[in-house]
Amino acid sequence: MKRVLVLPFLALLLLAAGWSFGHFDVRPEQLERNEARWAALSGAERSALRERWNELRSVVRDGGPEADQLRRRLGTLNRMLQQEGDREVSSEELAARLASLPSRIQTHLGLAPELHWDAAELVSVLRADTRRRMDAFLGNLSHEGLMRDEDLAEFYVASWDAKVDLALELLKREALFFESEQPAEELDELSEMSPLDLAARQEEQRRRRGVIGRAGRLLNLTEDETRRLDSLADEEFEQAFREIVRPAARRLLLEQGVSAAVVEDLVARPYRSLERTMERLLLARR
Amino acid sequence: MTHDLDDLLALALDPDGPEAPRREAEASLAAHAEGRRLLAEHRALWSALGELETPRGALSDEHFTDEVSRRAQRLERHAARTRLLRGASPALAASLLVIVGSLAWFGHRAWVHRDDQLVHFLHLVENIELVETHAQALDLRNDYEVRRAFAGELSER
Repeated sequence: MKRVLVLPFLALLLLAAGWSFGHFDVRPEQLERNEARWAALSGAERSALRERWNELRSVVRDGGPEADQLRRRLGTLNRMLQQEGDREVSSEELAARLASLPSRIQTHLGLAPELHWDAAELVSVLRADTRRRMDAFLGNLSHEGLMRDEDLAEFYVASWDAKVDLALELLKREALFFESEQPAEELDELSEMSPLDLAARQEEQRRRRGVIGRAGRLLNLTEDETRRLDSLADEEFEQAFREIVRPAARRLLLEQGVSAAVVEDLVARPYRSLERTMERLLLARR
Repeated sequence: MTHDLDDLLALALDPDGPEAPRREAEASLAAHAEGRRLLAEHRALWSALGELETPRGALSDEHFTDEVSRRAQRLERHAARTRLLRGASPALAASLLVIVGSLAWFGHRAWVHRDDQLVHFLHLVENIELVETHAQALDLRNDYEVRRAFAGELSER
C-alpha cells in the first residue's frame, strides 16, 4: 500500500522539479518556434536534448553558485533571443554578437577605441558607471520620499552583489507600480519575472510609446516617431528622447493643467524622473 | 462400521495403550481408504495442537467432539474468508486496474510534462554550448544590462 502512495508522490516531485528550473520571460512567438523545431527533430536528436536538459536541471537542482551562474547566463541569453521578436537568430550570429560585445560596450562608454581594454578592466569601468546610475536611482527614490534614509545608508555600504540585488529588486517593485493598471493575471505574470526581464520589457514599451506607464498611452507619438525610437541604439536614445518625447510630454503636462514654468522644470529632468512625475500626476488626476 | 472405526482410531492414537493392538488397529485402518483418511486427519489435528505424540488421555468422545467442532469452526472461518475474497476479487481486480491505469496515465503526463518544459526552454538548451564557450561575454552582457536598467536616472551630459 505504501508503494502505491509513494509512486504518485514521486511523480509529483518530478513535476515540481520541472517547474523549479526558472521563470524566464519566453514570448509566445519563441514558444511557437520551439514547438515547430521540436516537431521536426528526430528521435535521436530528442534523446540527446533530453539528456542535456537533465544535466542542466541537475546543476540547477544542486543549487549553489554554479546554479546561480548558470541561471544568470541562461537568463541573459534568453533576453538576447527575446529581443529579436519574430526573427530567428542562429547560434553563429549569437556567438558573433557576443564576441563583438566588448568593443560595442567600449564605444558606448566613450572609451578610446584604439586602446585595448581587457575584460576585467572593462567590467571595472562598466561597474563604476552602473554604480553611479544605481546611486542616482536610489537617491531619486529617496528624494521623492519612496525610500527611507537608513535603507539608503545601508545600500551605500553594501557589497557590489548585494547592492545590485537590492537596486534591482527596488527597480522591479517600481516597474510593477507602473504596470499596476494591467489585469491581475498579467500582473501576476510580470511579478514572476526577474528584474532584468521586466526592465527589458519596459525598455521595449518605452521604445514603442516614448515613456512607460499611463503617460505612454497618452503621449500619442506618431508611427514614424515610435519607429525611430525602436530602431535606436542605447547610446542614441537620450538624444531622440529630447527631440521626440520631450515635446510630447510638454504638451501632455500642459493639457493636464500644469503651469508652464513647472512643465519646463519637469521636462528638463532625466527621463526616469519625468516618467515618475507624470505617472503620479496622472494617478492623482484619475 | 463407524463404531468400529472409532474403536480402531482410539487404539491407534493412544500412545499409552498396548503396542500390539495399536499396531493392529493402525494396520486395519490403513487397509481402508476411509480408515487412512480418518487416521491422517486425526494425526493432523493433534499435530496442529502440538500433541501428536502425546494425545492426552485417549480420544474420549467428548474430547474428540470438541476438537472436531473447533476444527470445523476454523475450516468454516477459512471458507468464509475464501468466499469473501472470491466475491470481492472482481472489485479488487477493478481497483487494481484503476490504480495501475492512473499510475500509467500520471507517469505518462509526467513524461509529457518533462518534454513540455524542455520544449519551453528549447532555444536555450540547444544553445547550451554557446553558454559554455561565451560564459565571460554573457557575464559582461549581464553587467551591461544592469547598467542599462538604470539608464535615465542621471542628468544629461
